[in-house]
Amino acid sequence: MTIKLRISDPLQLLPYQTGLLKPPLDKKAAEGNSASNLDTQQKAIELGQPVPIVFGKYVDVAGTVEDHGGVFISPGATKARYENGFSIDGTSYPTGLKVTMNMVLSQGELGQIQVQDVYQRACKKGTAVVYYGANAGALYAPGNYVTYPTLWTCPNYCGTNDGTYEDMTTLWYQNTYFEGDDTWNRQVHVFVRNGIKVPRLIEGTSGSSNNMLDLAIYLIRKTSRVPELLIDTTAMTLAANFTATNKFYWDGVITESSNLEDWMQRMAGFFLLRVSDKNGKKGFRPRLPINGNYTINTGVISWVYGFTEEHLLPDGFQIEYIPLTERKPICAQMIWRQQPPNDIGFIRTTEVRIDGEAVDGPYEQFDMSQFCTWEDHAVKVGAYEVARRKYVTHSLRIKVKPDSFNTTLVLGDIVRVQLRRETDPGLVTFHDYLYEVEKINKTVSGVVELDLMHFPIDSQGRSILALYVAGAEGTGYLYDVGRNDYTCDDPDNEGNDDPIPDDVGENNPDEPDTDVDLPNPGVDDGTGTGLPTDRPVFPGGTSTTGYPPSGSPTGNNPDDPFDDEPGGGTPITGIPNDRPIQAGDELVFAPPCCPSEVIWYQYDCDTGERMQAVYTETTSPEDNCESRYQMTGEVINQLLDGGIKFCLQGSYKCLDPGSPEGTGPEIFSDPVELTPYLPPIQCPGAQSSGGQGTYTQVVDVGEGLGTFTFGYQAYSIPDRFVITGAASLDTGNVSGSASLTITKTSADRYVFVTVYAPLSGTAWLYSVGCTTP
Amino acid sequence: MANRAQSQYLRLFDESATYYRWQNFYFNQTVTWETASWNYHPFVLNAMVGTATQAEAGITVTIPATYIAVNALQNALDKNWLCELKMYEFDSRLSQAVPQSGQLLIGTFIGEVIGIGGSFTELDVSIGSSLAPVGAQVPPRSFSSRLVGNPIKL
Repeated sequence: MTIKLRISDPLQLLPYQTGLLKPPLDKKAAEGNSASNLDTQQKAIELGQPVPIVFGKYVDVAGTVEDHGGVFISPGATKARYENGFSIDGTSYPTGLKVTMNMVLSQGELGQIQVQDVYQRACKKGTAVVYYGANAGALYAPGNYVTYPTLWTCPNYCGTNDGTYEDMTTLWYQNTYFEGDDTWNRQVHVFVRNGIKVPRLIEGTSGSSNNMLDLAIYLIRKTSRVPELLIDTTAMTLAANFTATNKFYWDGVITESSNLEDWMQRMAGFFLLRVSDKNGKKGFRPRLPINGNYTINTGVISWVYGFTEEHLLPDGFQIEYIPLTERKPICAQMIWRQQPPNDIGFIRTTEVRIDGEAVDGPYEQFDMSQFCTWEDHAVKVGAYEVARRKYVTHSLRIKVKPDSFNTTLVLGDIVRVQLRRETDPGLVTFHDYLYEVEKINKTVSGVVELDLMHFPIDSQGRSILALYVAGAEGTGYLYDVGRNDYTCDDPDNEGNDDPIPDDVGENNPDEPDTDVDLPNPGVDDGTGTGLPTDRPVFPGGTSTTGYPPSGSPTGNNPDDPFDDEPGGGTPITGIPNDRPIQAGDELVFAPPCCPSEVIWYQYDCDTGERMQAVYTETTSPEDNCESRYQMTGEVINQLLDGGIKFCLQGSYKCLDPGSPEGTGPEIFSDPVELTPYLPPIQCPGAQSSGGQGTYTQVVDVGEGLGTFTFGYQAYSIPDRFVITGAASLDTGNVSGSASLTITKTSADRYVFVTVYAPLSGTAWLYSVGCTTP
Repeated sequence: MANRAQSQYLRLFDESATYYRWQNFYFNQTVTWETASWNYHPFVLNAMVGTATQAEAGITVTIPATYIAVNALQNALDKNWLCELKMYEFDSRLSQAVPQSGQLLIGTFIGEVIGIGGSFTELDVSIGSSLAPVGAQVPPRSFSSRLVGNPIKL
């Protein structure tokens, strides 16, 4: 049975699905606040940590204070060498410490890094080399080679030269420390002006970028989870132009692992975009109407299609208002990063509210500090958030009949819904709004279901949200960095915009192999893949191969005991094995359940026909749970009269209080065949003859007490004649002949004459007379 | 509305070739459309959803579990084939024998075959994106012994 679950898609969820509403955020320290921990111990890389991705591009707006972008990172070390002794300008410092260290800056190839952009603590100092695709700098032996350990307590586990550093940008860093300098183990920081080089949507070339769409595509491709054909490059390019035109930049480092879908959804909101799955392809599209030059459209909005009652199907209108909690005015506290030229960036907040509203809060935090270095960007996002709370009021779901829009209406289009409302006598009102198409569901029946999000416009037909966002600008005020002492900077580094060398990189030539390529475990079956495929062949086997010899798929299955007929209990016992059954013999049948109802049946061994019941009994523990049936002469006579083989069958019914009859089904034992009889021969003249063997013959001598004659001829080889039943005789082994008068012991008609003739070549003959009273 | 009819076309393909083309309207016929031949296969696509939201980024096709279908869909799953669905609308008063040249494309969807399930006679095929909605995917790589060897302990 297949169970198909259909999950409803409540309209209330639409604002959340579109990213218009977001789950509440925790208030916490800004994500991009890495520069607050400048003077900490150097970090080491730990296996399993995500390889950071440094993305962004420093933009120097000459002659202004509008410089922005770039990323300040604190890379982890992979190996280091500590040793004493160095010289500066010919002066030797034998107790001084020289530290050489390697670090990983980012996945991918970073753009150029300047000498002045390498820091230890807050100081621009040290010598660096950067390299992509291998460990930067020439190979050296990592380790603790300090000869003055009382002066310098350096690490002992200093890493190895192993590692491929494939598709990573690495940094070699060296610095010297005079005796007593306790900053030798401080964190090295790098201000990355040009993040990793990626294919750029707008430029069409590869290089450092600060466009979030370039980063999104890079991540989609690097995760290898989505085929290239499923990336909506057209939508991505449009969105990239939108963000670039409106100066929404991404300058940051990704160090925390997250889900790609979640990341895209979160980022989309901060770039006034929304994630779109159009025709199955992943893309982004602007949340606001745009002009042909990708600026925000603050003009009159036209709609592409109008829906009225004429289009609506019965029960085809559903409206859901945004809940009050999402409508209350807020002050959006936008957190971003001020990036001064040639210095460390720091966190800023800008509070955005609609004039006169939420003056004392509530405050809602929007942390864009991980990537936003441009105040206007943060302010425009804040403007969108506060404006949509005030003006986007509801969503619609309408079911309409198909029409010409079927081929023209696409996601993101603006439509008008005008419906006449006549609920009060004499009063006609209209539900008349513009909407943005969020979902189109075209069914086989032709019915089209549209999910629509309210698109507020002012009295002039302009998008209210677009007006708010387009008009929002930052204060432009830049804080002073708050630093007055730059003496710790190395004069050779300070202001030095020479690129640090990037032409030296060397890995361990004896790189150990840590990868396991699984060998082919089977036989290449010629499918061209070089690998075995799941094409089972089940040949007939032997007792040792596990396959059934027949090749049958069920040949090895064990029998299911519950599929068999229940056992008939113990076999019927008490049958004499040295003579025919006779009156007085007691047969025993023990069913497997107790108490039980037992019925004894006569049974025709020749035809397999169950005949009349001859005895019924209920077993009980007092009777040892056995049914005992005493054979009567009457039964034997009836059977002999019929000339049948004498068989008996027992049956039982276990007690079942749950059934209407109080018992379970009737279950039969195997029939037992009693000693077969020859058909009775009649007196007078009843006689029989034969040779070697044992033979029993029933003879009808007539009813009543009295005597009858019995004559035998055993010839020369001895035989034995035994009479049972209504008379008793045992001649023992005798030869020759004799005629005897036998006195009956009962009035029964039948006697049983058994001849035991074991010897080879023997012959015998007997005759029986009728009863004489 | 009564004059509208719908036909649906399904294509399994990858970057190098198209492996199957099926249509579900022209009973037991192979028809020519867009210069290609489309065999009849009675699959059912109840609705084609286009969404600007993160939700419902996939559709389901129900298909008889014929030998060809089972084989094709298993291959699609094994080899990451893509599946393209197109929904056309045309005037049913005109020819229903062959695709009308003027039929209108009202919906299209492309995705990976991401799941197959059902019974011995019928399969439900999920078409969408293999981008998992749960689990961490970015950054795509983490530090490993192969990448950085045995790193320093500070």
